Amino acid sequence: MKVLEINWLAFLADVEAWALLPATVRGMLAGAHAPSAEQINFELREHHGVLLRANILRRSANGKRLLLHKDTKNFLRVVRAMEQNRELEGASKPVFETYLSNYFTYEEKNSLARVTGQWYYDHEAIYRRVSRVQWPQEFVKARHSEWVKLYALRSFRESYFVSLDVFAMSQRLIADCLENGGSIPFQELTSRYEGRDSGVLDAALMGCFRYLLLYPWLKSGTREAILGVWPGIIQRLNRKPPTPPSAAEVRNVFQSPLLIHDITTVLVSAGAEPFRVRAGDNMLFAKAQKTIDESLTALPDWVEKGFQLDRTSRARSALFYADNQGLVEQKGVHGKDLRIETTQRGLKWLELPAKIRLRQMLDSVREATEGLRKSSDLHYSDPSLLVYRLSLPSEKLFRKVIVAAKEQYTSLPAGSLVDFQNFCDYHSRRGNPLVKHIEAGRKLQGTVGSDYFYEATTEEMEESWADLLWSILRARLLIMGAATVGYSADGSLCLGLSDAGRYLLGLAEDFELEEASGGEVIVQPNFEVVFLGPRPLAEVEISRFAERCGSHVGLLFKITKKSVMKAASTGLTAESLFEILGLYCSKDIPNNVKREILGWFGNCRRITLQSTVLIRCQDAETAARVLAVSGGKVERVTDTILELRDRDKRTELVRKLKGMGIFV
Amino acid sequence: MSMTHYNPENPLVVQGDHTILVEVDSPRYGAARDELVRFAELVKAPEHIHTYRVTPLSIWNACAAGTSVEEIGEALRGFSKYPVPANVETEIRDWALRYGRLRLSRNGEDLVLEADDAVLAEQVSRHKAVVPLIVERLSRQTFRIRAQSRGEIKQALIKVGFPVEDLAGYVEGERLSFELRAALKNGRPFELRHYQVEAADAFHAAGGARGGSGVITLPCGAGKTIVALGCMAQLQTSTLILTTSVTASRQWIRELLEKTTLAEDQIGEYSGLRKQIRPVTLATYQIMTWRQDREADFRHMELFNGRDWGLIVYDEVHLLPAPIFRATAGLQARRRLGLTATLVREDGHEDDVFALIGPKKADVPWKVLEDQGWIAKATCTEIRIPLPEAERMPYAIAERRVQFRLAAENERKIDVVRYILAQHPDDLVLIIGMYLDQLKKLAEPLGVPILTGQTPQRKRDEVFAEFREGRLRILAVSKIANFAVDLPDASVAIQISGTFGSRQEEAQRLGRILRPKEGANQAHFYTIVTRDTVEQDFALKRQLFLCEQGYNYSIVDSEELTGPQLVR
Repeated sequence: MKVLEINWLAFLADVEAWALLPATVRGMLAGAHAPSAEQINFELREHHGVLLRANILRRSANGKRLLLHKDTKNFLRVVRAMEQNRELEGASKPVFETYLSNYFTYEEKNSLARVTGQWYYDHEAIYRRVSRVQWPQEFVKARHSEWVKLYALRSFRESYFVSLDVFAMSQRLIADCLENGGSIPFQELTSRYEGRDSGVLDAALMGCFRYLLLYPWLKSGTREAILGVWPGIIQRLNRKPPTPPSAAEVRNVFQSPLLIHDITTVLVSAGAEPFRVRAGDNMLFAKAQKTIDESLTALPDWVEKGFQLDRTSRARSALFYADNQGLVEQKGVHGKDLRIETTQRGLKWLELPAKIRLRQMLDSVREATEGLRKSSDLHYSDPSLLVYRLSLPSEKLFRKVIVAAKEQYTSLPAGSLVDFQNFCDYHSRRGNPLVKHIEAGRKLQGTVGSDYFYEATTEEMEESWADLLWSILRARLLIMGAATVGYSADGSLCLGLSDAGRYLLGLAEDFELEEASGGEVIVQPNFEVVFLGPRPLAEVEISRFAERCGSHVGLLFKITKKSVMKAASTGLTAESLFEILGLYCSKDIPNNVKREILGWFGNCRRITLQSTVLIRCQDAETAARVLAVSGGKVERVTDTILELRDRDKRTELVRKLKGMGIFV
Repeated sequence: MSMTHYNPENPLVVQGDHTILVEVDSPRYGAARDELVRFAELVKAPEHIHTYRVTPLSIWNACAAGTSVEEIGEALRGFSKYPVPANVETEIRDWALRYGRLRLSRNGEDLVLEADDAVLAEQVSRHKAVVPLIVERLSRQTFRIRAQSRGEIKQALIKVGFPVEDLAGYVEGERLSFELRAALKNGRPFELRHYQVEAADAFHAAGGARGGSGVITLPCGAGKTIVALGCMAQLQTSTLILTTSVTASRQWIRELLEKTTLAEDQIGEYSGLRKQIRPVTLATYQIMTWRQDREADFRHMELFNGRDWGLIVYDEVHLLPAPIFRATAGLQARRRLGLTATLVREDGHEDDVFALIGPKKADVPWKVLEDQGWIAKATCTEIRIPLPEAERMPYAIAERRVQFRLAAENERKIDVVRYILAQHPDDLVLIIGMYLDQLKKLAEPLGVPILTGQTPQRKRDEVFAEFREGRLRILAVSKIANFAVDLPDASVAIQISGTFGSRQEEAQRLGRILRPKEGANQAHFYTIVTRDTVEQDFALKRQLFLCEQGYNYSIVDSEELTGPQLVR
């Protein structure tokens, strides 16, 4: 156990002196390295008295300087290790893994894993077992023989709890910690257990550390040496009962059917120019990705960062949904011209008012009736996509999850926002079907997000439930405009249900959506095309012959000679162009714009490239002789250059000319 | 980007890049525009949608005029169709909050730069351009600055995003008593128009420290010269006026003599021809920036110290050359008035204008002046003519420069000019061209005088006088007519070929004809372009620019023209 295998009695003797030191001095002594001579003699000079009395420092032979007492070095080494353990107060899995790595050898970790029923070192399984509140509680109640039988560490020279006294002392230590809010200061141990066999106390500490029943660390701020159960357990022991979330005062509110706008943007872009797809990984080429990213409307910074709604992930979501709804399709030949195009259904969708588009999206979630989807590993997932990133082998449990999640979001008060942390905390502890499943004594395995779990613990499922609620908010409700989010004055995220959200969850039969329908499109005399309101289909059509400058609303296009020429090359005529503009523009096309466009189209010509055979003659007379024998298959280009139209007659002509003394 | 709060009645669409589209046909357009001009610059004004832009300078100009950030926010939100993008509001607030945090005031011989707080003081005092200008630190928030560094420190600080409010006051200058006339010499009554009075008052600010330096922005033909006379009359002090050409200087002199009680011997011309330094002196930018060679000094800059000037006027301030900026940095104790139709500079030195001349004091949109009849409505017509058959092959095989000349000197243009002249038998007409031979071929048969760069100044003055007085109805001019030549009654301009240089040149050309007319108040601008040639490509740029200035622009093919072809 590396550093933890020390003489704890000696540590307990020294820790009393430690308790007398001010926090700043403790901080200096517990730093990453032993204090230097400079620090000892100058920075710590105000505390020399107490440090000398504590035997942490001693005078040099000539009495002029102070040095670290050699007997203190081991103590300070342990203190420094405990200082690093301050991170345990964060009580997270990564912190636990670091602790394991710092203090346990590979063999020791393996033996702990075997304790948990694994045949190989699995830190997840170990963490799951020892971070439960039940781990120390069960130990306190356990009988020695049963516990040792279960958890004896095989292939080790000693069993840590061989002695009944040591086992009982360990139980006493843990029970006292649990009664004391989860921890006891080291300096109290000597007085608490005065009269007890010191060797037993020492062995008990070692055993508790070895079995991850207790941990030593320096408390943040005061650097007091603490002995306690896993800090995550301390937090759970000390937490207050959950309170229902209540309405909060918010600012910076945001609510938008973002997904609909993004799908619209994707369809408009794909309608103008299909997205090229890489054959290797079926991802979009960088140029296509960039086109979409740049066309998406910007979000407030706090929304984009707080909900991880960067443009690339939004584009992916939009494409996913669009594909799901049949609004785009992949076409072309693999490795050649693979592309994503807007379908006819997609173009018709663009014609619809924004509210209808949103309603269709919400209905697809609301009315999913085909039952849960069963994957190849026999796990269930939700086809309505409301509850995603979760798969469970039990259909019954999954349905309970869906019902519970919907009920919890439905319970949000109308017209106000609540603190989201409070909301998650409350519902993950109350009405969490996954926790109820475990508390009923049933094993639980499945996947939440990227975490696979088996024999899940209550703690894990509370955390997972909060994750699930977050993912539903972030990746579903918010982007569908079903949730309103904001921040309270103290910076806490708050949420509420919007009208669309109430409709989605079945609390209302309809919803309001203010939209800028039928926005005006105006062609300006300077060839700019301005959209005073969103007209997605108009955007698709006009992008065929104009250069894009923006998206959604505002100055969106500029008609240029280059863009018109490009359209002409695709076969678009001036008449078609004016027809499109006439369809969408609320005002007449300016006269100068019409004239110029007509002029640009008028300058276009089509030519063909053709392969042919030219006959170059050295003079006009020779050319005339060739013409004479060609039987009409040769035409004159210039006086000395002729063109053979029918290539099949080449051999025959050459033969004839040869006969006339004209050689090729 | 919430789709809620959409208000279709409102005329503004505020975009995330700080441009604002304004729907002219909206019922609330007028009110929105009146608010916008306080804190945004008009970028373009084609028919239905005008574009404004909010920049740090436009915000600082607004703050200098007393507009608060709350008023700006309310105006945007109150007139916008959609929610204003959060970044726009944040950045406007940030820019606005930078104004007024640094103040320059007088303390004896020197100046004191005061910051609102110690953090700002620390920040600016560490900036490498500012460090050498600080003489000493007086306290956590104040610094001593030498008086001669007044301009430099303002320039340095604006470049790091902190405009300085200059409250250090001015020297009074040599007193000069005169008045504006109530009637002109021909008996016609004279008074300043209401917007000219407002502009002059805004500049003067009743003589307070907040007035006395700044820029008046008015469209061509709106009477910026008159505003300057109004400012001079309020200040009653000797004045140095810098102009873009001798012709312009002499135009100023005429205005001064006609509209004020100043005598001839009180007004001087300082140019290549004359070196008169008088209580009111007109000088050109060219003479001020003249030097023997690159290493020599600008010796005429001494004119800035030639008298105890109480006011310096910079005509066409958007054309201020760099050496004048440098000299102006040392003149901050004198009142300074800039006049221009646009604050947009080709070289992007708008911040120097703000720092060294002063903030914008008045700005009246040309549409307002046009609607009120103060400037003429102008229609622009592009007449396209075909290239003669005989020229088509030479054109097709020529290099680009030659192609341009062939197209520009198309002989058929002369017929079209005659046609246009026949349509305007009573109007005063300017014919503008680039090629002298072409102008001669056109003008000589008609007996029309031609003014070029080689025409002596005296001859120019005579001909302009005849034109102004109506004794000459048609005048052919080359490039010189572009700048600051005031021809009050020209109502038709025909451009037969042009350099198509800068946007300013186009604006100036039209400025020459935008003058109030008796009766119809309509002006016409024609350009004659050879169809399907490089000239047409260049004409497109002009077309775009004029449309963006708000002019009505139409294109006609010469084949559509009917009517008499000749005029004598």
